[in-house]
Amino acid sequence: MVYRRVGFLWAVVALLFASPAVRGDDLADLQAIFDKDIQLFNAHNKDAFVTSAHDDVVLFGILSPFATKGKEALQQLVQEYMNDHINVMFRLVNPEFFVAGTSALAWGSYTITEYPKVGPREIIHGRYTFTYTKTDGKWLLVALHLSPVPF
Amino acid sequence: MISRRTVLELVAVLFLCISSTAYGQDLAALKASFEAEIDALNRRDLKATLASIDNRMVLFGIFSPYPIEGKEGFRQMVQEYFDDYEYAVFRPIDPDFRVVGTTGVAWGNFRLATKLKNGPAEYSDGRYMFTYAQSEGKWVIISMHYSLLRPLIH
Repeated sequence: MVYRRVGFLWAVVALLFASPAVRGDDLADLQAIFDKDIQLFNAHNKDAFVTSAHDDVVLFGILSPFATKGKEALQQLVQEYMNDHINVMFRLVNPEFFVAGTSALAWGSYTITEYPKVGPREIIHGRYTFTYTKTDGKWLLVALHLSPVPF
Repeated sequence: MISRRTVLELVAVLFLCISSTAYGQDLAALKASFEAEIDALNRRDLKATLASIDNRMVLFGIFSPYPIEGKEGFRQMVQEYFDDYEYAVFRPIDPDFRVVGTTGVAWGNFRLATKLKNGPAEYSDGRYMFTYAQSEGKWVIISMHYSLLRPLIH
């Protein structure tokens, strides 16, 4: 009887300690994937946001009023954008993250500095929300919405 | 005697049917949850508006450049929205939905018809994206992001 009680207490204690650790790992993994995409984007790498995207990803961006649907369309959009610019710099302002089970969110504000091949430098201020889902132990991007700051 | 291959094929077909049915049910539940949220907003029912909101939800809207964070922040914002406007109707245009595992996405365009108390009637056209997480078999909203079309159309 006493052994069973001790065993039960151990299980409760182990669960209490294990849960935040698992969540912490999830959060760290999520941040690492997000950070890598920003690094790739700033390095003018055409794989930015593509490698981490789910096949059914959906994007509302600032280049077009229409939705970009699917990984292939996203890849094409990123390639065209990189081809049209000499350099781009995506700076994050107050980046935040949270994990809700096997879904997760990265959100915040940003400043993009664009150096187009044709035309003057442009600076754009906006907000972003990226939504991820965990599939086979990996966080994948399923939805992105970037919008200019209103006003 | 049924061969092992036939049994495997039957199991595969059964699995595909079950997966597809489960996906269909998840998608239908997601659509129903989205429609209930919009209906609650248009009916000015604060309690119903909060029914599917995750405690840590994040909202980027069209009235402020800053995020609204958490269910309480959302409640305050919706209350102010109801107080400030004599009339406000959100109409989704071409609503689309997607379920990926335990994550759901609802997106499309919208037309928001508003009338401030003692103010003129106005129309705003834009894009919306709600994202959901499945919690205990129920879809809960983890983010709402609205953006106006105006600055995107040159």
